[in-house]
Amino acid sequence: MNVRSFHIKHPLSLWLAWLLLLLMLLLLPLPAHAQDAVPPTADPTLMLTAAAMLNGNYVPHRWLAVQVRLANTGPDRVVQVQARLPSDSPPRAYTQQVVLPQRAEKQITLYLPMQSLARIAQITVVADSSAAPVLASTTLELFPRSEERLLGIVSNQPLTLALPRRQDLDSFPFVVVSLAPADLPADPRGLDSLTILLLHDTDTRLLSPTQQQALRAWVARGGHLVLGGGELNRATPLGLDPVLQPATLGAEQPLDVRPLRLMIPAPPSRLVGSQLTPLVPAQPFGAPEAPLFVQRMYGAGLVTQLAFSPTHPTLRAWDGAPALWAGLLQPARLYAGRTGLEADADTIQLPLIAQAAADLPASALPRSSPVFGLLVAYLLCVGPVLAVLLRRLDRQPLTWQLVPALAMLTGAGATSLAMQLRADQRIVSHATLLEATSPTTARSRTATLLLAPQATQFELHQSPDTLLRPLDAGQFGSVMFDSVGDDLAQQRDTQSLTVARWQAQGVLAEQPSELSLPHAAIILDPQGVRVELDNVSDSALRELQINYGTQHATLASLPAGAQATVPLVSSVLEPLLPASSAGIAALGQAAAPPEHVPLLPPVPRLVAVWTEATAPLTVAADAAAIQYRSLLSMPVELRAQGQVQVPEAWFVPDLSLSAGGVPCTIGGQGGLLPQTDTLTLTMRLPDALAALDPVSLRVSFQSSGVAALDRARVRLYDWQQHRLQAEAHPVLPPTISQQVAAPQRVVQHGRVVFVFSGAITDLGCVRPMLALQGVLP
Amino acid sequence: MNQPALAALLAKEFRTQMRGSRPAVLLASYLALLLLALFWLYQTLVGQVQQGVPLIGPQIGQALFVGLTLAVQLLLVFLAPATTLNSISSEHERHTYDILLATPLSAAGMVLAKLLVGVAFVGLLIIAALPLYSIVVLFGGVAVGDLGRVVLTVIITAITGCTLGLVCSVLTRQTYTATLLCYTVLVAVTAGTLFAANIWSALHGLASAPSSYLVANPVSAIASALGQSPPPGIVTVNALRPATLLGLLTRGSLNLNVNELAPPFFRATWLLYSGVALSLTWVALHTVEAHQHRRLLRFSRSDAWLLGLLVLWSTLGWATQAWWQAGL
Repeated sequence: MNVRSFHIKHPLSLWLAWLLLLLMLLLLPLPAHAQDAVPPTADPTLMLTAAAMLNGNYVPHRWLAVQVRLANTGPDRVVQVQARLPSDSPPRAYTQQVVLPQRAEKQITLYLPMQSLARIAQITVVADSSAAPVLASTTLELFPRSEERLLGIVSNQPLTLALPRRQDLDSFPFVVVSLAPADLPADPRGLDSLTILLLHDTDTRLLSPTQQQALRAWVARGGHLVLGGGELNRATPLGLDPVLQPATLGAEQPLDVRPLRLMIPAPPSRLVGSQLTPLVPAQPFGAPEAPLFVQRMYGAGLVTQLAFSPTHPTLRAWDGAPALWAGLLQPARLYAGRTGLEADADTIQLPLIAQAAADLPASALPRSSPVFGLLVAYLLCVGPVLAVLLRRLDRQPLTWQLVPALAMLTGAGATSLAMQLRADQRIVSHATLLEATSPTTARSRTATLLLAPQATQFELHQSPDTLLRPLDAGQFGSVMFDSVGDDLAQQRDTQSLTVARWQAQGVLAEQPSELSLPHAAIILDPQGVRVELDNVSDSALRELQINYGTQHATLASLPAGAQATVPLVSSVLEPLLPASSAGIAALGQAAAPPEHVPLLPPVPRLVAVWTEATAPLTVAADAAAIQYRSLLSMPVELRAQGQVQVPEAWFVPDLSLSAGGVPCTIGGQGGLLPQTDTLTLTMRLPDALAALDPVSLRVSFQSSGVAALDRARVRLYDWQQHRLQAEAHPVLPPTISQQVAAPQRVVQHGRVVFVFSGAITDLGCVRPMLALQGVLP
Repeated sequence: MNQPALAALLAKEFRTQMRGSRPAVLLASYLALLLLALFWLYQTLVGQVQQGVPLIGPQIGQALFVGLTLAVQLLLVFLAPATTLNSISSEHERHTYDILLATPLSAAGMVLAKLLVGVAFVGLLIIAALPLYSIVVLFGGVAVGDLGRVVLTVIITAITGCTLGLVCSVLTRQTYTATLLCYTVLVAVTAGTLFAANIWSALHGLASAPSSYLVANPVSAIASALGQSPPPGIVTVNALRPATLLGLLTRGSLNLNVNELAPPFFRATWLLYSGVALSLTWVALHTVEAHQHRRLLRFSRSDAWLLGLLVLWSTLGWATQAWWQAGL
């Protein structure tokens, strides 16, 4: 059969086949970017398009931003956009009101708190009236990512990294999301689910101020920002806030890859990148004149400036590239949260903030003296006065009538007086955790609990940038609390919440706050270590605690405008004083959640009771018993200068450059427990001491095992020769310390590397104790 | 029954009951004690609030309600019999008993008149105490039904106490002996049953004692009636908890969960006390009639009436057994 005869014999079936193919192509579903699926009852003059940020990927219990675009070809109208997660229990909607004039197009962002593992979100547009017909609706596909590393890549050009495969990693596999620079959100909550953000070939000078603020706040909350290096990335760091710049980029040069042996077995043969000049405080890694990368901690997060470009040809062809990226692209912090290992502490903090609110105040007591006065008068009347009167009148049998009459009269009077004097029995309790994200801004999270003697609707006032999320049910002491079941409005200044009779119910509110925060610094200089405080804020501070690792300083109060200097002491020798209330203690725990594994040095932190009433919600219940509790948590600057004796407690294990052991604690401080016959343990100082020029170093060892100490040996890494020193030292008891010759060879950028060998599994948890003296510029 | 004679006796009894300073002193002392107890309890609760314990209004209201009601019951348990203890024995001591029996007034009329006056005086005491509950209204936490339940318990207990006093007065014919007998029975019923329940609880690993140990105890009965109102869902840990005291009175041990209601054996107490009151009234009536007619085994019209009432009481008890047995 030839084609022509086929065509003549079967024309209709051929056309039908082409038509069917065309229909199939048109109806192919698009991932996470749903078209405006118009339900049969929808209004055709309203077009709805919705897209979830990060391609619908999210980490449970984080905010997920959904961008909704509306186009109105009909008359002027006011509509309400509703987002629902079918897995929510009880079901509720997150809503936003939109004014749509004729022919208007508007884009809004709805934030969904992903409290439950949802795989779809329903977006609905209804008319903003009591009988609300559905005008348009759509469904978004979502992808929960528990214990996964969400890596956002922002690049003007497509970028593919040679990342390790899922099956090659023990935990935290990579999920890559590409973002255009213009898609970077202006609200840090839009970046909530991201673990790491890589900026490559992106001129950050083109980012808006709100995008810059969002980046800064996201890093301060625990994000890891990675900046590419090389020629392509000259403009990448230029627009960033100076606190997010670990180094400046210089000319291109060959990089010394030998230090990479501490991270991976076989470094690449050649790597070219920018010459990085570290900005203080920052911690370089690599040769002093050409570090491979420079890291800088900011808040709870981390910024890493690479010297080389992620698109370097060597990294594409090199077998060790996945291991390098696995080591470099780590979360800044790791916490054992509700859904497993998490990169931030939200699922630990939010229940504690709610518990703090559940430490309820006493309700207002009414004035009882008028009622008691009336009862005393009644007693006198019905007792001696009546008796004397009736005796004089010789009418004592009238007692049978007069006493009940007086009792009824007094009872009615006293009851009506009591009803009038009765106090408002409603209780409103706010507990706020203020976490500084910059010297003038803080992330404010408030749990508000409401209690009423009967089912009551409370009116709340809030600023439009406040986001409300449900409270997880919990218990604090004997108080059981739960979330309200109402829909939660966004971008509105009022919200109604209904609470049941004698049920503590509430919400969590999150808002960026503009605050003038106090200044705090830990100073290390030839005089020793101390904390300097300057309360330039408008609020007095109480119960101040400055915590740094195993050291702390305390101060009972610091009025606004006052300054103080306090010593930093060991927490082992001088335990902290208990908090003034259980609510403050719960907020204190939320401010310092324990890390699962300390990937970075601890952040010196100031925690203090903020006496000014701060809550993003105001409840219209003036006569109710209202309680505000606020706790400020802010990082403390670490400054060092001159010739200093570094406190031993300031050295912490650097797990990214350690191998052969698992983290452990000895004497209240971090160490490693050897698992093999060779243990590499890197001890590092905070960023502020990275530039320390060592003068003298003495080393001893603390171990928890009975230890065949004489069978264990330790060698130090020589940074100048990029290899272990030939001389192996014995591992001696902590009472005997050894002087290290030429400390400037073994201490570089605040790091000292120890390699233990021999029969070391008997050592137990081991920690080098370093007495380091040096000079800082 | 000769109604004019009864009316005359009642009028005389009502008049003489209020004669002298004794009733006024009794009334004033009773109210003063209650007011003092209320004030002391209020100050204790306010003191806790001032120390930072987050008590809410209804918790304070419930604590005041429990404290005041327990005080009222404790006082009336011992005051109610006192109103009828000397009703017949004083007639014997003044040698006016036989004169009374010789009047057209029947024995039943005399006994009922004495009982009625005693109950009326106790009723006066109960009514006089009601204005004190306005303090509870100030704080809330108590419903009208709660107040009704405890007032009914107090009234039934008071009537039973009056009939006990009357019977003791009739049987002993001497006020002193009647007082001894009456208060011995009261102490045995009030303290003895509670002590037995405590011993049982102590011997059984502090478990709750069976309600049958306490059903006859008037203080436990009022505690059971009070323990039917759950505290608000929000309960603080270190606050004054009347539920702890109610637990001791209703279960013989202190381990009552603050959110757990007391066993409702007050219903069984109502039934028991009403039967006891009827029975004691019958004993008193029959004894006086037997003395009047000098025949112990004579079955009179009043015997028939009271027998009928007891049969009615038994029928009522049988018909509602599911209701009152729930507490046992």
